[in-house]
Amino acid sequence: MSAEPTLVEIGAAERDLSLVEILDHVLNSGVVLQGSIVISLAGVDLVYVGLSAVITSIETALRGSEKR
Amino acid sequence: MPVLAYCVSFPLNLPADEVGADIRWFDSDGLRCYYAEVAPLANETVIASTALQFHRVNTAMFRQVTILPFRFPAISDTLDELKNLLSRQAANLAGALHRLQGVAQMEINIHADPHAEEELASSGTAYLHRAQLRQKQADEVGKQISSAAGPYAINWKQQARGESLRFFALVERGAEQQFSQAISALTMPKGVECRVTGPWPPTEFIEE
Repeated sequence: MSAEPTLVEIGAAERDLSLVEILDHVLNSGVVLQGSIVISLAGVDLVYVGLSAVITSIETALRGSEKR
Repeated sequence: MPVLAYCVSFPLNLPADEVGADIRWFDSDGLRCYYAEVAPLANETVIASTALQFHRVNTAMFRQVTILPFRFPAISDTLDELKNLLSRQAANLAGALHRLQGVAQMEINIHADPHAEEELASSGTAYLHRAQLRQKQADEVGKQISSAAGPYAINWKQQARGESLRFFALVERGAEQQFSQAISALTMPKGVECRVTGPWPPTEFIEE
């Protein structure tokens, strides 16, 4: 079976799939569970905005944990 | 306690280390639904770490079986409520799972190089030129991509999103590398960048 999703770039430097891309994917694709109520559609937008603000710090934390 | 729905698959026994210790499942209407109990998503840090865990679990499961992930965050107040909600969509999801067995989604994201954009913007008729060039390049790239990767793609979808153009291709499991290589071999027009990611669960093809 295939490995984790990867990235191939043409015309730009090759790099790993970024955290931003992963979060973008989980927030924008998939089955919409109709009726799930805790976070409304508008709430999801707010979640997304909020996520952008913490992505950098999480990436830093993850890098730190990988080094340990 | 609130529950976060991860994905559905057909009922198959997966090794515990693939699923994750905190992930539970139930069978209903011929589907297996994976979920986890979650504390309230109180702040952005908790949300982001939960989203990452969601991605990791679904990715690990997708290595083993065909899954349909839920859009994050699919949260229900209780497990019973999740079961009830899933039951209403079960027939459609089972149909999609049947149709999408053994395939994966590859994504191609095409966007303008920001440095090339700056060069264009310095001219007097920047806006018109930019729009015309973008459209022309998108058409060219779209033709190149469908020609190069066509043999590996069972189905295609195209989506304009902001300044970028996205292609979603449905490919057989095992053909992902060939697909990526076919796209990698293309020469993009000046000022255009193209990125291929995958394999992803075939979420863009759930609806026929």
